[in-house]
Amino acid sequence: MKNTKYNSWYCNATFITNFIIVITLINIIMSHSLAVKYNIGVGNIIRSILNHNFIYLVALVYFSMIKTNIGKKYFNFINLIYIFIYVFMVFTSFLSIFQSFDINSIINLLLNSIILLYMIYTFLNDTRYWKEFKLNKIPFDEIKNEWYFYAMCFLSTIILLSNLLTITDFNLAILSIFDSIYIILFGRYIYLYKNYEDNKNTKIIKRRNKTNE
Amino acid sequence: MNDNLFDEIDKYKKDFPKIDKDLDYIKKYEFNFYQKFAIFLELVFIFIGIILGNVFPACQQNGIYNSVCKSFNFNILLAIITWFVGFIIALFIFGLGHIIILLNMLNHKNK
Repeated sequence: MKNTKYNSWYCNATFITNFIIVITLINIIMSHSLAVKYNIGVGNIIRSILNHNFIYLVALVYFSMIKTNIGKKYFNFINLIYIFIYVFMVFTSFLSIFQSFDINSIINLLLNSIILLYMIYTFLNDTRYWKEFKLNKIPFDEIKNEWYFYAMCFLSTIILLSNLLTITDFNLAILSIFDSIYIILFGRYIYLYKNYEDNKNTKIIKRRNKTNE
Repeated sequence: MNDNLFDEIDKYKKDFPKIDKDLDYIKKYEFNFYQKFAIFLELVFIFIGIILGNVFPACQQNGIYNSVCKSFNFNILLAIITWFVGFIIALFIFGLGHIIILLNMLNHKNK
């Protein structure tokens, strides 16, 4: 029973990362093809669509990088850059509230803040900076790994629902569904990494206890 | 759990370098006028980026394909481009300041 659970596709990091690459590619290609279909000007494509696809382009580069040997070697450094980019995203969603104050922009800010916290909590936990900058004193552990992931799923579902209520076009509805799938998959990837780190640490502690006995 | 990817990452990944000593060096470092001006310029460019991102906002995903955009997003790409240009200019001026420090040191040694 346990084996089948852990062999499921949603517990396989390789499958999840491949899935994310495919979803980001579909998202980027689809939004550009829709822009052509709806006769949107070059200025608008550069301004709005590139802005929307910015995070997908970053995700595409990130997940393609971690498949390579260089990406694996500098995994911590790539994560740090990704965290910085999410700092920008939180900043963007904060300033977007001033641009258009609605439930979507507020939930977007909440979602990006949770993703940023979750990334810091997961990816910096095993590094030197965690102790050097005394991040272990911040109560990240108050919220469990599962709850960060569930919060991301919940908020992305609310954004999807509010989008679906306002969208009248079928293609845009699919694009919004892909947006939400990407967020859930990204959350799943962080969740699996944190799970892996926790399992590794408990194994090390058990081994130490055995040698002490 | 099937974690081949994470196993490989764990096997190869490098930790961050120590930065305690670097931070101490920066705290002791005395900036000259050019370097102070470069830091000030970088701060100015950060504010310009924020202002430009707000003045030229991007349309939100759902509104892009409509004829009239109803809700806007902060234009992060424009802001990042402005910050990057500002960073390059500030870095150039900061480097110039550092060259002047080195030339002064050489001048004092020769005397």
